[in-house]
Amino acid sequence: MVCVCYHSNADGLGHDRILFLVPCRTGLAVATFCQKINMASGYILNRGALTLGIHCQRVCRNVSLSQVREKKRWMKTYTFLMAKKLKLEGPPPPTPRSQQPHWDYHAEVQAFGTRLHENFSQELLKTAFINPCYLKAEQQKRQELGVDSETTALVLKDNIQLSEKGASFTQSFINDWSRANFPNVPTDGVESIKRYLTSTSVVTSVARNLGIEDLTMSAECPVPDDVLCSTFMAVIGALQESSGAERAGFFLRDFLITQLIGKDLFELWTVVNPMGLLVEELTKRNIPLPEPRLIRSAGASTVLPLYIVGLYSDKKLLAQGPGETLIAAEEEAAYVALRKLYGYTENRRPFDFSSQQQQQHQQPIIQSISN
Amino acid sequence: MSNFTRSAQQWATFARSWFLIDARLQPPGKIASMCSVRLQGKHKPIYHALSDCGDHVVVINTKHIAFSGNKWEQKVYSSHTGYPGGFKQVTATQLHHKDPKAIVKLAVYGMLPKNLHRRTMMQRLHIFPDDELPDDIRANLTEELPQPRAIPRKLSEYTQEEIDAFPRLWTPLVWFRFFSGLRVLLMKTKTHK
Amino acid sequence: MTSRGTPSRFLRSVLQNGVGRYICQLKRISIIFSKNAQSSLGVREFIEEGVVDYAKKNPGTVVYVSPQSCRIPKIVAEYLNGNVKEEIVTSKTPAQISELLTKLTDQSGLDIIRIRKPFHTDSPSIQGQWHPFTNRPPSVGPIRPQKQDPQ
Repeated sequence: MVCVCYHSNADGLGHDRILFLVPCRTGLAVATFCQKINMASGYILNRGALTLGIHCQRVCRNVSLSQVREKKRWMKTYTFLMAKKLKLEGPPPPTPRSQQPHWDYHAEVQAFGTRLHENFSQELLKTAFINPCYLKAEQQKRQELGVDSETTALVLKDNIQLSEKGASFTQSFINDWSRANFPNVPTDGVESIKRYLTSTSVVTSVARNLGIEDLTMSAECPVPDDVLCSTFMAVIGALQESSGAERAGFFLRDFLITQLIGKDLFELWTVVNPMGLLVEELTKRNIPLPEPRLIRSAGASTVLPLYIVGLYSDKKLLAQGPGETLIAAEEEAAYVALRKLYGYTENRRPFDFSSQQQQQHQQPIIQSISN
Repeated sequence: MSNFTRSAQQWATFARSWFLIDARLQPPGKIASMCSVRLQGKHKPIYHALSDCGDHVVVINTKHIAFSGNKWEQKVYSSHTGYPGGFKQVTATQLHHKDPKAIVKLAVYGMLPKNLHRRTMMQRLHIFPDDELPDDIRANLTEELPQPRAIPRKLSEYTQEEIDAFPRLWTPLVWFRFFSGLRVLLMKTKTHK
Repeated sequence: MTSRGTPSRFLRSVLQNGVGRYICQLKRISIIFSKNAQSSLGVREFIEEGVVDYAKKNPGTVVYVSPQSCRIPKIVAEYLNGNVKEEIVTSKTPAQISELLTKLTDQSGLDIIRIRKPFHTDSPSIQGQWHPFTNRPPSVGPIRPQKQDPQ
C-alpha cells in the first residue's frame, strides 16, 4: 500500500528556519536565527543586517574569529538541563502509534489482513479493534470539549460481541484439536493445555508480535493486557464471521498452537500425585499395578546421589526415571510412564502444520485407497 | 526418546560415578592411566575441560602392585625438603615400604593435566592398600573396571594333566637330555631330603 | 569489541514463524527524503521507478513516502516484534536502495548481534541424551560385597 504525506517546514524564501530554545537570565526565550547558506563573501552579518540592510562589517577572510554562529554556547547547558529533567521525571510516557508520524489507519488495517494471508471484511475488522474503554474515553472527551452529542454522534460499535464469540470459538477449537491429536490425554490434561494457550501471557505475546497493539483503539497507552487479549479474541471472531470456522481454525493452529512446540505436558499440567494418577490409569486399562525397584545408584552416601528407579508391572519394565533422592526418582519414573501412556513422548509424530492446499491434496489420495 | 523432565535429565547426565580398580599384581603405570582418564572425565561423551565432569576412582590392594623389569630397585623417587642438603632420593622398594599408597598416588598425579584442576581430581581419587573399604565408599560404587594386565598363572597353579598335555616344542640335544636328567635327579634328591 | 563485551542472542524466530505459515515481518517502511537536495537523488529516482512495484510485491507492508527538508535521506523500517531500524541512504543509487529494501523485507525484526549458535532445535536428542548408565551392563547385587567371615 502506498500512502503519500507532506511534511515540510520551509518558508517561501528558501531559507531554513530553525527554532531553538535559548536559556538566558530571564528564562527560556525563543530566538530565531536566520542563516544565509552562502557565506562566500566573508561578511559577518548581524541579526539586524538582513532586515535593515545596514551594519555590514567587512572582515578579511584570513582572520579567524570565534564564529558564534557555528558553536552554540547554550547547547551544553541546554542538554544538561534536559538530561536532569529526564532523570527527575523519568522517560516520557509512550504515545500510541496512531499519534506518531506516518500513520494511515485504513491502509494499516488492509495491510494487516493481507500480511496474515487472510481475507477479512474491513468493517468487521475495524469493529474488532474498537474497545469499550476507548468509546467511553471518546465520549468523555467530547463532553468536556462541549461537542453536541446529537449532531456529531459517535457511530462506532464495540468489539464485545466479537470478542466473546472469538473466545468461545478458541476454547472449542483447542479442545477439539487436543482430543484429535492426543486421544489418550484425560480431561484434566486437555483443560490445562487450554488454560495455558488462552492465558494472558501467551495471548498478549502472540498479539504483540502480530502487530495488533498498534491497531487497537483503547483508552490507555500502552494497551493493558486484558484489553489486548479481548482485542485478539475479537479479531478471531471477525475472521470467523468473514471467512468461516475452517479458516479461523487454521489461523489459531498456526499462531496459538505453535506456542506448544517445545513444551512438555507436565510443564503445563501440575500433577500433585503422579504415582496415584498412574495407578488410576493402569487400573482403567486393566494392567497390573506398578512395583518400584531401584535399578541403578551412584554416590548413594554423597551429597549428589543419583538413583534410577524402574516401575515394573507384572515383572515387565514400564518406565524408568532418574532422581536426586529415591522419592524423586520414583516420581520421575511415574511421570515417564504417564507420558508413554498418554502418547506425549519426545519421539511422537510432530504436529501437522501443513497448509490447507497440502491437506486438500492428501485427502483425495486417502479416499481412493479406501475405495 | 528419554522423556525425562529437563531437570531430571540434566541431573542424570552430569552425575558422578564411582569406579573400583583392583591393583593386585598390576603395573602401577597402567592403573594410573586408567585412573587419570576417569578422573578427568575423558571417558564421557559430554567431556569438557571446564565442566568439572570427572568421576571418583577407588583403588584397592595397592600393597600388591607389581612393577615390571627391575624397577623396584632401579626406579628412584626424588624430593627436596627445601632446606640445604635436603635432597632425598629413595628407591621404589623403600618408598613402597614406607607408604604403600605413595607409588600409585604419585603415578596418577604425574598423569593428570598440570593445572589447578589437578588437586581437585586428586581429592576424588581414593587409594586403599588392602581389600578393606569403609562402608560409605562401598555404598557409592557403581562399577568395577577390568584389570589392565592379565595375571599369568604360576606353575604351581597348573594341574599335572595340563603340564603333561602341553606339547613338546623341540627335541633337546643329547647333552641337554643328560643335563635335564641330572637336574631331575637332583630335584628328586632334594625333595627326598 | 569482544564478544563478551557486546550483547549476544540465540538463534530463534518470532512466534515460530514458518512452522505454520510464513509472515513477512516488516510491517511499515517510511522513506524520508528531500525534494531538492543532491544526497536524495537516488531516493527520488527510486520513488519514480521502483517504489510502486515494491509496494505491489509486498502487499502486507505499508509504504510511507514523505518528502521533508532534511540533509540526510532515511529509510525507517518497523517490524512486527516492535524493533525499528533506520538506514541512511545518502548518495545511494536506486539499485542499491531496492537491494536494501529487499534485505529489510527478508529480515525478521530481531537484533543484529552475535548469534551464539548457528542452530537451534527443540528436540536435540533422538535416541535419548547420554547419562552414565546408558550402555553400561547391569550389575547384579552390590560391587565387592563384604565377605561374611565364617572364620
